[in-house]
Amino acid sequence: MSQTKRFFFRYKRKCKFCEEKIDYIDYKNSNVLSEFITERGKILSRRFTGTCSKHQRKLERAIKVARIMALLPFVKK
Amino acid sequence: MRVYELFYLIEGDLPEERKKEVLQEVKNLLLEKSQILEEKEFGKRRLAYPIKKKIEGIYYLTYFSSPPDFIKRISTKLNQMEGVLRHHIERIDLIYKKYDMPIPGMVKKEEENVSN
Repeated sequence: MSQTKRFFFRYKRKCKFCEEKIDYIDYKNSNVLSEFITERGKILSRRFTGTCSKHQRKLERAIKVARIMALLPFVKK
Repeated sequence: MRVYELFYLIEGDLPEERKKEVLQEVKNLLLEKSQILEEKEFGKRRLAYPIKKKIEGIYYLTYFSSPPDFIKRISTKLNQMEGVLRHHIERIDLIYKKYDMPIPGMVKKEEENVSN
């Protein structure tokens, strides 16, 4: 089982925001934010997306604001 | 005076006249104590989930400079306003300065001064 786990989490390792040098993650830009949520609307973990911890914190906040403004769903059926 | 960004959502199926009234109401509220720097329409969109049984909404974005104690009043007034579904106010002057981004509205004024 441990083997499958290792394979599962190892395909992307670079932070998108660091590479493109984006410091301010805009909550209004729902196209970018939607790359970091699942089909069901949950926030993807850093393990999947490779986002660095600094940007993950900002991303989380941006997604939560976008949800309140109805740009992104809380849950999607 | 601090610079803020107001992002608000109004109902999408309002008749043209009522829509103008709502926009004017928001503008009048802001003009009580603050200065409007720039106004933008962010566009009509399908909402991610229905709010008050409405599926569509129009987003507007306004940049304004205001004293800090006025923000709470804006927020409560917008909550009471009919037609406005959601709003979000964020202070942007420090963030924009930190990351060297031009504050919308402020740039234009500076350019005008130079040309004058």
